[in-house]
Amino acid sequence: MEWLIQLRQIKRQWIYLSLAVLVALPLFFKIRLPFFVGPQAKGVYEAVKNLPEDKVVLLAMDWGAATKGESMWQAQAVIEHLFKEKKPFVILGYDIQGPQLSEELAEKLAKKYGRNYGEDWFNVGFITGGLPFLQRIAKNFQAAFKQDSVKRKPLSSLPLARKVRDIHDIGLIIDITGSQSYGDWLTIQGNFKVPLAIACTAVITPDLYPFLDSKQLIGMLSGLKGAAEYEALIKGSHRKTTLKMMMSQSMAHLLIIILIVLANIGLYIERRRRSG
Amino acid sequence: MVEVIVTWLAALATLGIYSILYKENPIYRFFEHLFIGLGLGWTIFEVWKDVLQPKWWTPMVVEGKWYWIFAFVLGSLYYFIFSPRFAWMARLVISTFMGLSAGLVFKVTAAIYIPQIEASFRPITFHPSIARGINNLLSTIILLCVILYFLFTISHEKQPLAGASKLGRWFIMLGLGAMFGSTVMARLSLFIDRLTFLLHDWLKVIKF
Amino acid sequence: MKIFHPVKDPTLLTVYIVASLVGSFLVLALMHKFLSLRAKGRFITALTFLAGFFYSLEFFLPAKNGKNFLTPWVEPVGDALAVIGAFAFPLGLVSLAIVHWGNIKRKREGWYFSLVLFIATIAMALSAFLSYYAHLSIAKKIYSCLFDGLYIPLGVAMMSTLAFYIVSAAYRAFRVTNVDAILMMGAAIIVMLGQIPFGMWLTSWLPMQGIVSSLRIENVSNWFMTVVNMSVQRAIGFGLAVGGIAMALRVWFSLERGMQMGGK
Repeated sequence: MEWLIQLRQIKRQWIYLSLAVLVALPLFFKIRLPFFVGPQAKGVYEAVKNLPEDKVVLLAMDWGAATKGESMWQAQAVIEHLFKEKKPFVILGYDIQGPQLSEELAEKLAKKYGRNYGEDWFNVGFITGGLPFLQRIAKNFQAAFKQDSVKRKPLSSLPLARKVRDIHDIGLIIDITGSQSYGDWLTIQGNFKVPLAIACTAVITPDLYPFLDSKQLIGMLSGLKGAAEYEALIKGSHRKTTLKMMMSQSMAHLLIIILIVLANIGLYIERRRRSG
Repeated sequence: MVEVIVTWLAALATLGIYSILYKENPIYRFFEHLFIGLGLGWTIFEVWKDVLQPKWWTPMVVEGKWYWIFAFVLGSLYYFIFSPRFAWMARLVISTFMGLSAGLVFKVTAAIYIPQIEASFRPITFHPSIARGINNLLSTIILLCVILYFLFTISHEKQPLAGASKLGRWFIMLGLGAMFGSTVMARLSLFIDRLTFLLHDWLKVIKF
Repeated sequence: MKIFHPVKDPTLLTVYIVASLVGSFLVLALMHKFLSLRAKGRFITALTFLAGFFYSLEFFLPAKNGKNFLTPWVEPVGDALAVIGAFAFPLGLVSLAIVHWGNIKRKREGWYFSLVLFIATIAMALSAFLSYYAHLSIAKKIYSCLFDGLYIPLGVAMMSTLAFYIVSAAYRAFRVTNVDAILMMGAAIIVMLGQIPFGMWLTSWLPMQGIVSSLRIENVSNWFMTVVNMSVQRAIGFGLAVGGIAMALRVWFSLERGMQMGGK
């Protein structure tokens, strides 16, 4: 019984090693487990699919290296879907890294789908000024940006950018975020009634369910699971990769549950011993 | 060639950071300081490229809108925070920004929370769907109990408020459990992504 | 007003800019010299109050065709805030630079790491500017190595160590000793299992349709998040909203401690 009590005192280095080994296992071996797509991810998918012909998607890349493990996969899946469906989009972001990292993704995928910068998408880069600046963009997009951030040309020289005059030319906003930036986009959605979807890290997912319920959000991608769901829906290039990563996620979650159970068993036995 | 160097550098950087998991060591500190330095340098470039150059320098110098110099004056007031004697000038611009943000709160709260208040009023009927009726009833009870828990201006010692407040606390525990479960997935995803890079992109021992 | 029209003549432009800088400096110097600490505090309070009025009035005042007299000012103010906000970015950088320069100057323990910091800053900034503006290919290669090879992976790796810490923390701290902890554990396990394929496999033997399908873990987890969690988060959100408005009013009227200067 002593060994059960010892289960409460496993050294952290052994726990870290176990985590690394268990997470690596599904990457080496094929583990086939069922994976179902939730209604929240389907909401985003339908919104992109049903975007009117004359509208543009606004991709708010409010993520950086810190949340790359989730946000990059989400951004990749969304951009691939937009290219597949030939839906034009504009990239901007509150995070200083987001627009640049997304631009690299867009350029890689654009080669695969034969899409051209300036015609199928453009990037106005990192923005500051918070909500007041978003309102500025909403009222007059052309005046808010002197040039794009990739070619450094005036927006009037890019065919797609000429079509984006104000918020009424935006048919959907997708905010890919690792922070609380969604508050500003919700305000824009409330003021201008533009459909809004959020692809967020799993940490802030629970906070967003009230907005899904009130229809302020039309869909949501939650962390890596959301990216895997979206890849499954669009039959994307990275669906096998994201599914394998979800298998790794399974192993890690199991480890946590087992460790918590073991620690509590040890605690229970110790307490019984003390009281008995 | 550059791609190979980039991959190797990324792998070494990752392993250097992970060395902290064993114990504190100089390799970790080196990479930590390297990260901060690279971040500083990159931020300087990015802020100039995406904000200051197109929105301040070009309008002022190229387009002749000389009044943009006042943005520089106001922006540079921030730096007086480092001087105790002149710190009041930094407070000028900080307080103005805080005032503007405070003014925005009404608009933000209305835009975000009025639809929330509307959505809180749910029909508690069991027709046409019993399940929906039960869900609506449960949602309303949870909402009221949790709001009651946070009402500190009235006493929660006597029933029925005591019971409702206790229920509210229990529901909050359920919400916190959901937040913990989501947070676990978020943190693990970051590590899984890094491990995938090490095994697939660097060592090339796995294929997708 | 004609004075605010764009100026094309470079000499005149320079004169205007220099005159504005000198004028601003003079005004600030005079204010610093002749205003008492209390008067400065009152001036700041008045400015905060007027600034707060702008957006709140613009929101509350009735609008004709979606506009009131303040609406045309929203765009230029938004632009100005974006630029002034950008000038604040280097503040953190300056702070860091002061601390690390101090380390090097006084040869404190680990001062060479501070040297690494400065070298990295200069290398990154130089390579970025040269590759973007001068289009030098060697600068592009160095920038790629620094940004894609070091900066991004270091950021990701730093955050990913949290995975290990959360596992270790959950193991050490999660003790099921009372009703609250049991509820929290139960909720966490439902959510964790509902997100992963293993959890979906546990209940995959249940039918996909019909009333029994609601017992499938992904459906239980979805119900839990969309009904129970949603209601809890909404209630917490209402509390935060009320608190946010109260705090905004305190900031607007400068009732917060630390917003006063020289007074109580």
